[in-house]
Amino acid sequence: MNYLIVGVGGVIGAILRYIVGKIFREVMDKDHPVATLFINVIGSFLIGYLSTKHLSSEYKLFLMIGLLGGFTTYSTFMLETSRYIKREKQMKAFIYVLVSIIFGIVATGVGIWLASFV
Amino acid sequence: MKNIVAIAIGAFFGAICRFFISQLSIGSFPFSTLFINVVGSFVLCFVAEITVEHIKISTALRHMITTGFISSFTTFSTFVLEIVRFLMKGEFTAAIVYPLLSIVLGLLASIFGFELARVILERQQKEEYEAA
Repeated sequence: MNYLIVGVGGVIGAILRYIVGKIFREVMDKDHPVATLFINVIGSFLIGYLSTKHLSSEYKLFLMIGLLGGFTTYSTFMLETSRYIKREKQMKAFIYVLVSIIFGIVATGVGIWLASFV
Repeated sequence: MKNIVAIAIGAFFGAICRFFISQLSIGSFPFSTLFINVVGSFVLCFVAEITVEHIKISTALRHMITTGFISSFTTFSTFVLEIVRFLMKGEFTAAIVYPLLSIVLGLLASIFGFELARVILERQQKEEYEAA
């Protein structure tokens, strides 16, 4: 049963990721990994918020492991970074990694902090 | 619509595989997330390169594997949450070593994925050339 909950959450997360990616591609230059950054930072904020909330284990599995786990992605983040490196754009690769991790950590922290009020 | 169905099928199994591996974890260091993210980075780069360059598969199948399965298998939110948990517990060494390992191994795996695809494609092209 737990596997089914995680799987369904993953499906919803992935479809949301696909839609957000599509919207970004329509309004922006194709070359920028802004969509992945946006997705990962929003997902980090939400997982921080949910992590301190008292939810049933089924809800936590569905939202945190399933939905947010499927929404955010590490492999695309690495694909984009290594493409920068392959094109000798080391500085862009470095900035992309640094911004993703720092924004991700800060967003999670803000999520945890906000959860104590709302 | 076809793409969305394909992504949904891939993502369902990607998330389940991630959950299965995460339950095998022992100790406090998040080796399972590290393993998932490094392996996923390798597979995504390999598949992206080999399908774009030579092997033609349908867009839907490609989406099922990459946007669906692999992207849902790997995760950024859990990765960041684990770093924040290290920080909140005052385990600063782990809070630095974990992201550093994830990035270095993830990038090595990605580049290895690209290169492996390239080697396979070059060998295939050579065989086709010799056969012709």
